[in-house]
Amino acid sequence: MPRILAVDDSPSMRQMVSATLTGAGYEVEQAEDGVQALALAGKQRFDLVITDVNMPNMDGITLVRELRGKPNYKFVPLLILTTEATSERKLQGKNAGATGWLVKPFNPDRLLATIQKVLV
Amino acid sequence: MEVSMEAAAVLLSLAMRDTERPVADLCEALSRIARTASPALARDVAVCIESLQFHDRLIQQLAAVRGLLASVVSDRPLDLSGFGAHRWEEMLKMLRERLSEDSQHHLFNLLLRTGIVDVAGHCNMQEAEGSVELF
Repeated sequence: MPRILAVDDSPSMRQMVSATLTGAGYEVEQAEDGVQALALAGKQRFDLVITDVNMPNMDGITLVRELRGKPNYKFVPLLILTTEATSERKLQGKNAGATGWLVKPFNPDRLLATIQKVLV
Repeated sequence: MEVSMEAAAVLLSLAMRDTERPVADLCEALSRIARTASPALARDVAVCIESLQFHDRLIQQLAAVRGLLASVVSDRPLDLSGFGAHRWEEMLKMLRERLSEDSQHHLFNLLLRTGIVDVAGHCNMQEAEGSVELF
């Protein structure tokens, strides 16, 4: 089963993403900010990363940019899951290398469908 | 005025902090249910997951309000960013240093003990939580 890294500074959001994904059979690791996520991604390879934007230490857009700079994450789907929905922020995400942008609150079925689609 | 606004900011932090553990417990329970849920129950779990995210949104909005309150009270605003318990003691220390009168300290201590103070200055809200009264 694909391994997914869920990054969010909110413990409850991490739990909810994790519950949705593990319920569908995915293996999930959690990180509470970009720095921790980057460290985890350096130690092991994930098939997909889903990250919040506004987090302490390192925000999600910087995380996406950093991951895209790594050879083993050049083609890995990187999804952003955030409350922000302005076209300006989405463009920043796209330019950083994000695969998609999901706005919270997420619908579990739609999240799973999106993940299946980008993992193909 | 400044003390009231700072107390309001701290009270917001207290309320946010108080919901942190119960919501985390709820999410953990939901995670366990999600792993073993039947297809029929999975539908309800999905509804819970989607609805629970509004708590996260509320916390974000309260954090923004708290930030605004803290920023307007003085030219040396308290840094109240983040709501995790790990910064709680540090935040309390910063606020206590700004209180100058005994009455302010008294009010502040009441707020911390209860999260709410009635008009008479009595506090018993948390003690009442989970209690049973038989007549």
